[in-house]
Amino acid sequence: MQCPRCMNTDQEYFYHGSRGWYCRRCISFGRALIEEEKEAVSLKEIPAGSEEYILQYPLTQAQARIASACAQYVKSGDILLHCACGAGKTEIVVQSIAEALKERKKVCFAIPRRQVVLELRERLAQYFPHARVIAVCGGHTAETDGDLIICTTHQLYRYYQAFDLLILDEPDAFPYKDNAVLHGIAASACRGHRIYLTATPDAELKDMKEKGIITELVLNRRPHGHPLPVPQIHTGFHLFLLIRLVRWTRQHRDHPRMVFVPTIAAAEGLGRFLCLFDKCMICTSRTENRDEVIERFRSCGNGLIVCTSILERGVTVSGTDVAVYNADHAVFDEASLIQIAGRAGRSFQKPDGDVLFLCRTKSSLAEKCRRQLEEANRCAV
Amino acid sequence: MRCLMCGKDLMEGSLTDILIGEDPLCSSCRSQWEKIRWRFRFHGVPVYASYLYNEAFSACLIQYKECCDEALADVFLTEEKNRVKRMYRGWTMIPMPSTPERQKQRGFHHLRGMLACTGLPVLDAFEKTAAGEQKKQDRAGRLKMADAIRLKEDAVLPEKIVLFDDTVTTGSTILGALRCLEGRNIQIRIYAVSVNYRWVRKNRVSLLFKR
Repeated sequence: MQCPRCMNTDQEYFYHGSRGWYCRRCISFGRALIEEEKEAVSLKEIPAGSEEYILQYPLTQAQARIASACAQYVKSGDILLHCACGAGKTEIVVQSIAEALKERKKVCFAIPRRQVVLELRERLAQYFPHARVIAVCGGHTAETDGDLIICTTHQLYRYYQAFDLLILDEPDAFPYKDNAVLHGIAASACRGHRIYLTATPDAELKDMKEKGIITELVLNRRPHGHPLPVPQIHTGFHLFLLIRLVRWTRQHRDHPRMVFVPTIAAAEGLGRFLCLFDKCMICTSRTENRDEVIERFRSCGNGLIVCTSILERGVTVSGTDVAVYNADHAVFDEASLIQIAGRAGRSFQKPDGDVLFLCRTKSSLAEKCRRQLEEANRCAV
Repeated sequence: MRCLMCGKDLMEGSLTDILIGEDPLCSSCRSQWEKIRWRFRFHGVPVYASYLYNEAFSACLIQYKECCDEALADVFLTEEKNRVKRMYRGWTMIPMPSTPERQKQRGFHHLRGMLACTGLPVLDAFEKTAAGEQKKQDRAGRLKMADAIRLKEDAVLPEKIVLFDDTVTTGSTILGALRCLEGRNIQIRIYAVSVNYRWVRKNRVSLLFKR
């Protein structure tokens, strides 16, 4: 027995109710009966001309090469697009999307986080001015059919066997990572091929690559051609790190600065401490007006923000410098440290950002992260 | 066996889970439910309430009612089974009605399912007249729901009845049922598996003033 929606085969999750067998693993998406013939969701035909696209900047040579390779390979198989943070993953897949739309194929862009969905919809709507680009996520579910659909990975349950091309952005991010239900739902929503976009592929993706199920395309160079910022690592006791951090914030006072901390409590504590020296914002999952705080930080130009790992992905503020306080804490893994380091130096105006890791003990993860970034810089040449 | 809510293996849980293996929920899921066992009166009718309607309880109830997860039927009364059986021996349970469409969609009677483990006699005496989802209504709309309930024409009521509902938020459904039963010579009790704290407080306060 297999659940048609989440692909579960574990017998312990099946339950026989008055309507027959159903799967309890994905029950939060409503009851899916096993014996019921599930029909593929049919979506509207895509009008001609919607595949025309305009990019704000032309692709660099390296980007264009990857983009056309991606558009070609995706016709016959799944792809892992392994690009450094800020290398322009979205722009690279635009060509593949356009070619799929031209063949009247349904395309979906799925992302684990809700906030990124709305941001990405704006961007893709600019790139595809003639297509109807819609966002489907919590709070935006009135309309679920368009020419190009951007949704959270949770919303994929609406589209059984509906997509010919499914682009999964950041599949190594919470909550999609290691979530068997979401993996199953994504698999059942796609009848064609998939593209995974990430800067930090997790063990599962690497394993798939080893087995030859997916083709990997690598791009380690940002469009401005400068190397990725490599973190400086400082180890020491508490007071030393605080002094180091204050000095760092003073040195970079002309740029926006982000200080990442492991816990909400630490964010509040450190935020209050840094307020003594500079105007300081705090952003954690408990902050109620989060969007407003981020917007203020973005517009202010040389602000200082203390945040937890919720801002680790998808948030782009031009010209930021990044520090991680207590980088050896267990909440940070290698992927999240690389993502955090990737916040820096993303703009053309200030392509070399400064990244600082402050550890209380010698951390192999921080070292590993630095080595990976150095390796990526070497490969890019 | 796995916990029905979090999916954790019950044999890997705490010692109580392993030794007193009756509960289909693990102890950490169960501990999020606030057991109150309150008794009070509502319009003169004795009420017994087992739990407070909090986040964990409502999550479980939504999974049972809206996502149609029948496996959860026994979860609600496991702890109260024996007590309820003892309290209402010789009484007939009258569940509050839901609309026929919802009922058909679910494919099972959710309140009968909850009561199945107690073995008490159940009688569907009420029906809902106006359609409309109760949970989507605001407070004023919910209060109007009192008028949307009536006795079935062919219903023969026994002498001792218990009005049974899964959750009481504003009390309007129960109030409507009480109105339908006005003037009849029968004994009435109310059993709500969970109650909204605000509703109880309001009633308790008004009770104090009467005395």
